[in-house]
Amino acid sequence: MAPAPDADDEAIVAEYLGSRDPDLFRLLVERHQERVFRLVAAILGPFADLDAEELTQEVFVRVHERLETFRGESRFSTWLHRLAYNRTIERRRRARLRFAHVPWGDLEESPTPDGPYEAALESERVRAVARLVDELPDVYRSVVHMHYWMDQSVDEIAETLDVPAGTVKSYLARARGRLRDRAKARNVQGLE
Amino acid sequence: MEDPAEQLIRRALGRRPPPKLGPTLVDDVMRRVTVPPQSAAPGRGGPWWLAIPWLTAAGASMVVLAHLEWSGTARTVAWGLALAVVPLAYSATLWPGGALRLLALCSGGFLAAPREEPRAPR
Repeated sequence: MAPAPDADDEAIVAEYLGSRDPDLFRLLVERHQERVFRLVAAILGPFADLDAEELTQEVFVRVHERLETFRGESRFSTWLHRLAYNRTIERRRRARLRFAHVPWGDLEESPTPDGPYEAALESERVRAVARLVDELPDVYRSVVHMHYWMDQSVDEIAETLDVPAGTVKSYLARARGRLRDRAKARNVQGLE
Repeated sequence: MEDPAEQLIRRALGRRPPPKLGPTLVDDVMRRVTVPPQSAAPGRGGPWWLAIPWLTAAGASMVVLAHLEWSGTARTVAWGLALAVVPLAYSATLWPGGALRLLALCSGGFLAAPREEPRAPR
């Protein structure tokens, strides 16, 4: 039986657990794939050398395996978001043990300002900033990635993270503050 | 309008474009979560005659064991091993690859060629 298109997630989960009708789970994936993918990509960031789409698939497979543990105490989207977040953070930490923080190759094509000396300075500065962003705490780094790399608005980030827009603004401000402080401590110019 | 610090952050992160979600994600997920029914394996709905070689091996083992001139303890241990190993071997086709590799690794020592014993001088 085809699920009602306007049925809420929790009802679909309950129905799926009873009937195991694949169309119901497909509907859940279709509804949430974009949001989970954005979250996964934001946590991984531009230099993580992991495939965001492959990890998004893994998240949904994991959701399928653990669906019976969903008790309905929170919204399904919140539960899914938490699972995706934890899974991706875990994968990123494991990957960081194997890969360098910021591969050189990704930063060497910085725009050349005036001459070779200035270009080298700019390249080094950009690389230092990328490294500082990479060292931010998980939630701040994800928000910075969403805003400055994935070009998402505050409202879009709020929707992805399932938090109020004010919280996102606060995360961004704190992240910039931390970047400023660390840049000062390491003598990186341009983030004042 | 962004300040220069924000522009610098954007430049630092903008070396790689953000990834785009592919059109096949839903189908790929559904393929992974919809497990096809297991193919019939010996002992799990397979034809009964597939059990004949195993039953023959078990029978032959019993005959051999019954004729060995061993002590009571050795005989009990041998019977215990036979009773444990035959069903395990019978179900080996259902084991995951990792378990089989581990078993092969552990049994390597037993299956290796016997050591050459130094001959006693005459």
